[in-house]
Order: sequence, then C-alpha cells, then structure tokens
Amino acid sequence: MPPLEKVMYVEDDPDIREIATLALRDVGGLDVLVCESGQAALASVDAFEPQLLLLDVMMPEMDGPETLEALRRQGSISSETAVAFMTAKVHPEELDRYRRLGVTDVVRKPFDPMILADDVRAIWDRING
Amino acid sequence: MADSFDTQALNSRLDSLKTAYRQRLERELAEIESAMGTARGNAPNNDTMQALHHALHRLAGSAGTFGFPQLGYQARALERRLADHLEGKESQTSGLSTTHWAELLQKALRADERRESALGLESQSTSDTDGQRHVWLLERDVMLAEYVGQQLQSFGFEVKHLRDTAALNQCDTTSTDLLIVDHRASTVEDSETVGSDYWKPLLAAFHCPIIFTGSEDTFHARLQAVRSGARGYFAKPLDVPQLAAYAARLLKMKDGEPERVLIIEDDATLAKYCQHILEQAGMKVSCLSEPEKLLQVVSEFDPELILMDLSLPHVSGVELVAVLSQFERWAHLPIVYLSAESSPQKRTEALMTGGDAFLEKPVDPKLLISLSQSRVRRVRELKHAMTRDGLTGLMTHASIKEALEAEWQSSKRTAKAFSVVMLDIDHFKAVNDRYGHAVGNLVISAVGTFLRQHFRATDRLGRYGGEEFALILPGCIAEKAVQLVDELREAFAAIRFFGNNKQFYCTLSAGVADSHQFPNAVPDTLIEKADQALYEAKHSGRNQVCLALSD
Repeated sequence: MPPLEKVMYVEDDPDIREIATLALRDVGGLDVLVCESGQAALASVDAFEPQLLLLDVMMPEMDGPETLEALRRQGSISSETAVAFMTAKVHPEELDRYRRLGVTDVVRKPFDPMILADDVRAIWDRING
Repeated sequence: MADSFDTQALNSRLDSLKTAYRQRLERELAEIESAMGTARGNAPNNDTMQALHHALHRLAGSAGTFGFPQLGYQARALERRLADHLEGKESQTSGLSTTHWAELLQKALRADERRESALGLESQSTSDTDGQRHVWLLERDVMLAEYVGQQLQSFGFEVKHLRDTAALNQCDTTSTDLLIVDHRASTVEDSETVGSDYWKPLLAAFHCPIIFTGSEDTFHARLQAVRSGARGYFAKPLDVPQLAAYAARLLKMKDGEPERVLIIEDDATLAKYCQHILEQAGMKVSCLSEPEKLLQVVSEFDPELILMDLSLPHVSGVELVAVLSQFERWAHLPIVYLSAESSPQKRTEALMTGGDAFLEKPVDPKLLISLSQSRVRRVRELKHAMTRDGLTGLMTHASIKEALEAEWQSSKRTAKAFSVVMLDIDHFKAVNDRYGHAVGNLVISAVGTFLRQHFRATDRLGRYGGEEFALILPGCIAEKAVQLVDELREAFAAIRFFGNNKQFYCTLSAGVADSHQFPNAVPDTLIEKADQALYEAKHSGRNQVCLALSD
C-alpha cells in the first residue's frame, strides 16, 4: 500500500479551510489541494489526482454528497480513492445516506488541528489495510 | 509525519488564526442576533430560518477547533432545536422562543474565555487522575461508533474508537476503564463464525469490565458474550442511555471506596499479617488488641466488617459480638471469626451467636481477601437497596432529607457554605403521554445516571419524587452551583431518547439556593427557596437554572 501523500479537501468556510490546511500540510506533512466549493473541486481534481478526498458535508449550492456524486459521474474517482466526510453531527438517518454513497468514514467537526492529519492517515490505512 | 515542523512557528500561526476567528465571531454573533430578531418578527420567512440554521451549524462545527468548545456546544444545541422546529417536531403550541439565544451564545463564549479559572465539570470528578472515565469502543461501523461516542460523551465518558482487533492489539490494555466490543469487530474474514474461542484469549489482557454488543438478542448471543469474558450484552440498535447507566454502575462498583475492616486479635504478628494482606488488596484496616476499647474504635473507624479472634484474653469473640449487637447501628455488622478451633460444635455455637463465617488459622490469604470483599459488598448492596431509589440509583426522598439535615448541622460548625439544587425534567407529563411510562422511566433513570456521572462522590444526589431531583453540594456556593448545573443542563439536552420509533430530547430546569444566602434558614426552608427558584425557572420558559432570591 502506498503511503498517503495527496489529499483533496473541499470546504466552503475560509477560516476552517485555513486551519485545516495548516493541520494537514504543516502539522501532517501532506500534499493538500484545497477547494472552496464542489465546482472548484470538479475543475481541479483530475490534474491533482488525489489519493484521498475530504469533503465538508454542509456547503451552499453543492453539498458534500452531491460533490461526491458529481466527481463520480465525471469519472474522477477510482476504486483506489478514499473518501471521507467532515461533519458536525452524525445522525443514524444521515449515516444511511452516506453508506449508500459508499462512504464509511467521517471526520468529526470540530476537529483538533494537532491530530487531524493523524485521523486522516488512519482512515487511509483502514481503507487500504 | 512531518518531523521537522517548527513548533513555535506553528503555534504562532495557530494563535493568529484563533485571533482572526475570534474577530469573526463578533460579526457572526451579531448576524445571528439580527437574524433571530427577524425570526421573532410577525412572519419569519423560511429563508431567514434557514440562514440562521446554517449560521448555527457553522458555529457548531468550527468553534471547537479554534478553542471555543462551549460556544460550539451551545450552537449545536440551538441548531438542533431550530432543526426540530423546522421539521415540525416541536409542538406548535409551545412555538419557538429564540429570546435568550443570543445571550446563551454570548454566555458560552465568555465561559470559553475564562475557562482557565472556571470550575469545569471534569475537575469535579474524583475518579481518575485526569477526571475522566475512559471507554474504548471496538466497533467496525465507523459512523455508528461516532454516534454512540457522541452520546456517551454527553454522559461524561471519554470515548476512544477502535475499528478492529488489530487496533486493539496496539493499545495499552491498562489505560481504559471500560471496553465495549462489537462481537463482529474481529479481523477474521468470516466474522459471523467468530465465537468465544476467538475473543476470550484476546480480551484476557483487559482487567476492566467488558460489554459486548451484537445484532441479535438471543440466549446464544448472550452466552457467547459471557464465555468471551463480557459482563454485559446489549443488542443493537443500542439504547445509549441504558448502556450509559449500565456502564456507570460497573465503573462505580469497580472503584468504590476501600472496604473498612477492623481486626480484633491479640496475636500481634497475625494481626499485622492479615492487615498487610488486606491492605495489599486495597482495603483500609484498623487493628485492635484491647477489647475494652471496642466501642470507641468502632464508632471512630466505622468498620464494614470485623475479623475477630474467637478467643481473646479475658473475653470471648462471641461475647464481644453480643456487646455490639446491643447497639442498633452495629447490630448487623458482618463478623468473621479467626480461629484454630476445629471442633464443629464450637464453630456452630459461634455462628449461632452472630458470627457470619469462620476462617481457620493459619489464614489463607486468598480466602481472607475474597471473603472480606464479598461480605462488604453484600453489606453495601443491602445498604444501597435500603437507601437508594430503585429507578435512578440516587438517594431516596427520606435519605436525601437526612443528608440535608446532616450537611446543615456540619455547615453550622464549619461555617462552610453548601448549595441545595432542586431539579426537574421539563414537560415530563408530555413524555409519558406521548411515549408511555416505560420510556418516561427511562428518561428518569437517564437523569440519575447523568447526575451520578457528573458530580463528586461527596455531593449528595437524590430523587425527591416523580421527575424531581434534589442535590446537596457541600463547599459550593450558589453562584458556582448555578454555573455547574447550567453546564449540565446544556449537556443533558444533547442526549437523544427514542420512543414509538421517534427520537426526542428532554431538557431540565433547576433552582439553586445556598446556606450563606439564608443564614437563618432551617433545612426545609432551603429546599423551599430552591423550589421557588425552580418555579421561577419553569415560569420563565423552562430549560434554565435560576438562583434563589435572597431575603
């Protein structure tokens, strides 16, 4: 299994974007492409070829699950791509929705910037383990 | 992992991000406040409500990351209430009052900013060095684990999620207080057939209690759990309040106070030997070699068990037991005789006259420990059953009033203030009507678990009646108690209950009075004052804590 290096991160909130980037890039040493919307992600995903997608769930216009579906339709996600949602709440009924999309991992908000990269790496290891 | 990052530079960047976020909070809170102003207008439109919902959701997800956990927590609670309202779950008659919302958010923000000096809930616990109960959750379904983890955290547990047994094997088995195991979380391919042969050796390294969870509620599943070394079994879907109640009970049993054992023995070497063995096992031991000091020592040490030599100089063990039984308080103390006496007749006589068991000299250390532990446990269980409310495990009405009287007496001597809290479940009748009494009882029992989890061992917690609770907090002034109970009120609102296939939440109202506010009050007056404050809390909209008005 190749180690995790490239993470694409989609988040509409600029402050969260900044602290998460700091957490993934500076603390975690990951190569991070940050997108501020689902549309931006669709446009830049193929050039970056991420190993792991981290999607905020609640975003205006296209939310996380919609972004994931669009990325799939566009053929930008391979069977090797790991996907995790970032969300402030986890309810059983939402879990079913995520599961149907094939996503089994969530990163909880609020996250601790010092361990976010570890959590993301753990997801990668689990999916590939 | 990037080993080379510059910690100092990183911290200063984190700090500047936090400062920037703090400034943004000013703007966001102002926007939220104005949106709520609009929402309170005559015809709040859906867009306003959606925008408000979105703003609260953003706050809930971000505040904690930037070091404002209380604010995030409060935002989440409000977001949920708004969501319920938007989905039409909240009854139309009560409507949605957002009057205090801005104030609640500001209050949470202030709490975060003075967190250093604040009296945190965690510091109230006496259980552990870091004040937390650590629960490990071994569960393959990551999202279910997230959900259960969140709910258990509402009850005051610190939860760590492990996905499978491979993760479990990498952990230090001594650093958890409780293990909850999904029996299918093995790494074996065909997990359906994994039984106790698989789990038992794996879990043997854990000395903490273990609870199994599984999809079927059958005798076979429960037996497998027992054979695997589990203390309890919960079928899915998990009822988290019940799971929390069970977990709390297991943990309280585990680290209760040390057993107090009095040894009455004239052979100093043997007494020391027994003392050493029992102390090694974590008990508190006092030795008495002069029988004439018996009453004094018993009343000072308040033993839960007496180990007594059957034949002492000038007096026999049987006679001492007879003296003790003249006092109501000590008449039921368990007595274990130590004796080299092997005549069955002598033994029978001794047991007939008030002894509980015989331990032969030379004393077998293992037997001594297990006998002492089991006797004390039974005494405690009996005492518990007599003074505790069956549904909640809290003190009964009579015993909480007794405790109040005692605390009042002691505070007169020490001049230390104590607080009285009267606490009540909001709209409890509606819960009973809508979901039935069984669910209503579950809510009451959840309050019991919740209170026991969050208060110190020295605090006295009672079920005063129905859905009303009385708390006595020694050494705590009313302002502090209000702050403490208010934090609990918020945490409780996050616990989700299920009834008739619907989810619902409950809130609490409370009134607080302390002994310094009312220096001339007798215990009943303090209850009355706290009760009036509770009435005030109910009257001004429920889901809040009010301080009693001084005379």
